[in-house]
Amino acid sequence: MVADLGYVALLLAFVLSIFAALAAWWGERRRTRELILSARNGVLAVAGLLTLAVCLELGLLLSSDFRVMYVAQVTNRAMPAFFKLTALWGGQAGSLLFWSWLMALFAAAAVLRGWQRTRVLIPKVIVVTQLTLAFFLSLIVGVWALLASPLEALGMSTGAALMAEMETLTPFYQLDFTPSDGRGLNPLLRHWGMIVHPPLLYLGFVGFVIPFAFAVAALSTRQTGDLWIRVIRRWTLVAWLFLSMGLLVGMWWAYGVLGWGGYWGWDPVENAALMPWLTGTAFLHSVIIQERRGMFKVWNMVLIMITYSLVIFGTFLTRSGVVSSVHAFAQSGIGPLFLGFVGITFVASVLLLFARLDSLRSENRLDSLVSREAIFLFNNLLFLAIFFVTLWGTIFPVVSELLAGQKAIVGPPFFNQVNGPLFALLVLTMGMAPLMPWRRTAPGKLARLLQWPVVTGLATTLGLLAVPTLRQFAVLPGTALRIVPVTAFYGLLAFTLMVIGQEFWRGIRARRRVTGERYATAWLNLIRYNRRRYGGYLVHVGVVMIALGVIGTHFFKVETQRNLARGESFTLTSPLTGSYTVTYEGLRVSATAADVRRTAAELKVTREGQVLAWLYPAQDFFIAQEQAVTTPAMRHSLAEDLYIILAGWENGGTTATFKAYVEPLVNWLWIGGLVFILGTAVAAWPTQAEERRTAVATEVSGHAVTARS
Amino acid sequence: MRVRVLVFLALLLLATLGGGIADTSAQTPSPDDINRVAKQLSCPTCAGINVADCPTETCAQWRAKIGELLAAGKTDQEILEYFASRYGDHVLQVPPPRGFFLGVWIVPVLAILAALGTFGYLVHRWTQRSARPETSAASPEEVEDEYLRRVQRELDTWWK
Amino acid sequence: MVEMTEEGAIPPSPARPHPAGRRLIGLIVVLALLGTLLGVLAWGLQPRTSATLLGQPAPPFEITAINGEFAGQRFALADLRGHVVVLNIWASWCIECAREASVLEQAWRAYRPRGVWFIGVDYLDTDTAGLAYLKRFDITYPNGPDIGSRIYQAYRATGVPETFFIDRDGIIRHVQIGPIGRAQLDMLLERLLTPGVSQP
Repeated sequence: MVADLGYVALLLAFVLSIFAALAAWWGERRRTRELILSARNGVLAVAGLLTLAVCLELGLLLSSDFRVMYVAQVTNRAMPAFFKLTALWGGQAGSLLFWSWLMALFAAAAVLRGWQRTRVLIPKVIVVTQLTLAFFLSLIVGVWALLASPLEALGMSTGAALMAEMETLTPFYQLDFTPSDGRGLNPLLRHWGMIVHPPLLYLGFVGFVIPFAFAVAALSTRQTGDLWIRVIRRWTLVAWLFLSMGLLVGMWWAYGVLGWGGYWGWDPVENAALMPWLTGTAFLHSVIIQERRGMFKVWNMVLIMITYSLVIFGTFLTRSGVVSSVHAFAQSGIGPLFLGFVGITFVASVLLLFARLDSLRSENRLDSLVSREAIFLFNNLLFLAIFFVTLWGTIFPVVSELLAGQKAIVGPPFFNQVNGPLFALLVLTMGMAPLMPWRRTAPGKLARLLQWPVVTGLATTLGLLAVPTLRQFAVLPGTALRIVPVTAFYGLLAFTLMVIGQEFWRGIRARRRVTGERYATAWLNLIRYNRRRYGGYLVHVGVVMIALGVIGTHFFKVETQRNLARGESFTLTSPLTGSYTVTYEGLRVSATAADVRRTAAELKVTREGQVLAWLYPAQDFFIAQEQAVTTPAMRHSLAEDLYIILAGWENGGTTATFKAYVEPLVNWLWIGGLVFILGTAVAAWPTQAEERRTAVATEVSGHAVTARS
Repeated sequence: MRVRVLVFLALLLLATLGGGIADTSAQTPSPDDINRVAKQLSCPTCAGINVADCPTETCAQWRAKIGELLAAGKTDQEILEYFASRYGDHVLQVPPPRGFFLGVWIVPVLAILAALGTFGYLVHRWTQRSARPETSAASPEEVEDEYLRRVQRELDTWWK
Repeated sequence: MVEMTEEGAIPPSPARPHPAGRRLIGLIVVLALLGTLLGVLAWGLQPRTSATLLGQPAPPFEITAINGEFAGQRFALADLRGHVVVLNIWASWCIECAREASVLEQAWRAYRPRGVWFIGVDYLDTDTAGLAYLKRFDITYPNGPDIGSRIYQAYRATGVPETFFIDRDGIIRHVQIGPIGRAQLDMLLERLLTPGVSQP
């Protein structure tokens, strides 16, 4: 009954989304206000219906109605209620419903918010968002199953089978019988990081639909002036914020749960989320040039289109099974359908862009290679290069199988070696950019501004080279060559920080000269009245901290694997803080939840006789799934983490095997992540000045429309 | 700035090249020695995870085999080659540098070079063109204090 | 997609608009690149499982046996033409394989006199583990390691165990995914051994 109701809501939403798209299209062509109004109401109704569908699905999950196939696939009776709710995005059908719901909410918000201010663009925004939504909904209402018999008749039996299977992809699909219990959620997903990560990532992905819709609307209505870029920037920043948070939480989850001492594995699914982030970041930078100087209009359009295409493409990679990955969903009929949709998106965007190239004339020229514009362009180039390398590495296994008939794996070493230097260059441009004025630079001025940052950077590098323990550890795989680039990189980070600090300092001094404020007040007001600029700087400080952590863990990580008898110990020497002595005291078995049995080792961590911590690395055995999950134990500090996992044990625990890692500076990664997000929030917060500028832009474009019609 | 970039690139290149060399201490291999080699292999039965971290039976056997080969005095590189020929090239974390597999490295390098070339060419063209006094060029002093003027302008509007 | 820089980044000069021809070439180049990418992915999506080999000529293979009387001998599919061949892909760490091991061995002993060859292919094993497994189940038909995982890939196996029934003309007539029982094995082999009947 509930399931039937849910299905009806889903079906209605599907039909209405198509209706809204058509009504908006016709309404705009015929200039019929009623049709556009009814399209808007359609958008709101779709959002309402999908909210209802999601609530009903949650009810089914909570009440363990196993007759509904999806409920039986992702939950079981023993699971805590909280995890039953989060199982909404634990499987293919549910996550597609969740995704559609978020997209419907975003579309409704964009239409409501833009109704007055971006009136000219709204009809096309409705068309684009609702068509995208209709595609996603079509996957989970089972309409593709209707294709099965025509395909069969045409003799395409494989295709027919795939389409027939689509019927079962409805999150409300009911079995003929009621299983006594469900299969339950993958144990690895029962962690709060995994509960927050997918919604954040989905919000980020879905969010990019809105800027794309505005871009397409602006292009097709030839409203390529100031308006769309201002509207888009804010929406992009919101989507980008969620995507960044999703990536960071994902890394944090991998570090805390997967138990291999790392946080990023360049897995296809991780890459799928990183790629739109890279192009989105490039866009957020180059859009500033368009706002200030009216340049790179085509390029910005290209970037926003690539970013959206990558969102759809990433979803395709994750859900089609085309590349094998630890996180991927199983192969299904979704693959071909998605590929078709990706293709349509690609081609339609490119055609529209080429048809409208004339309305994207640049208003200005590049005056000098040593200018803000040039360095932003270089920054874009680097982001795109990293994106291309990532894309290439991700699809290379398929290319290799196709062209060479041989499987290949492209693992982390490839990405680290190729993308690593590119990221380093990116940090360099990040450090240099604030020093470069628009248009061109007066050499004397630049030299004066460079003075302190360069001194700081050099001092950092030389200082680090002089520290013997660091030198000893930087040469890990037997070569002295590593230490130079690593310390140079730290110098670069110091340089960047100094540049940003100098910028703040100059701003504060200027304020104090005029207002006589105290330093702290001046600092706060500086940020308050120029959120975009100083929010951006905060983001950069976050990036520096993240880079500190990444370099620390990548180059200075120390690890060992030991088998210990009870009472035995081993020592592990940290590059930063001295030696840890870890003593194995015994095993303990306990129950952490109704369906989980935990075997934990007791470890005493000492340094020079002083007890630093007791750590309890464990293996959790999930009884229903018959699956063991290693749970690492950590001792955190700002300098480093001591990270230990229990790899196995013999004879009821008389001996046990441990893997221990020292992860230098890793916590700066998470702290930097927080600063990063804070900075983005500061930059994205609407300011009055900003609102005024958008209002002006609206007026201007309004005149343009009146003049035209 | 350009010099800095070049020096930095050269240093990074050296670092990358240097990474390949590994020392070989034979005798009875410790778990750490085994893991060092196992890390460079990826296990076909658990996608995306290297052999050192993979909990499956296959990987346990492979680690034992690595131990045997290390004890027999084989170098890391020889062991990797053994595994690649025995089980296929796709057990290596990165395709071996020969034949078609070279493409994995060459294509990105070519793409980046092409992008750099285009970038250089475009910048050259634009700056050349704008050298003509068609747009009113800002005087150095004007540019110099533009930033401070903006801070002050913001202050001015804020008072009102 | 970095190549898009070329088209995307050129701000057309206001004085001299882009010639239409150049723009068209740009469009074609971009579409061709996108088309290539999509084509590769479409190919990647095609099902490439062992089931798709049914009714096709069996891919050639060659193993060097490591067990029992055949130790050191080479077996190639080409040399077995005219015989019914049962090709079993297994691994020592595979629990399902252990369930069918003795079934296969008994069948081999029963059908060997009638000209059926059983060939075992050891996938992803170390030699020590593989030999121990063969000894544990007392397997006497020729077994050898899958060097380079070539046989596994050529037969598009999706896991272990998988068993391929190849008729006298070298055509794959049945693909068994997962362990096989004696009754089904008998049925399949009797069909393949009946002259004139090729479809089991």
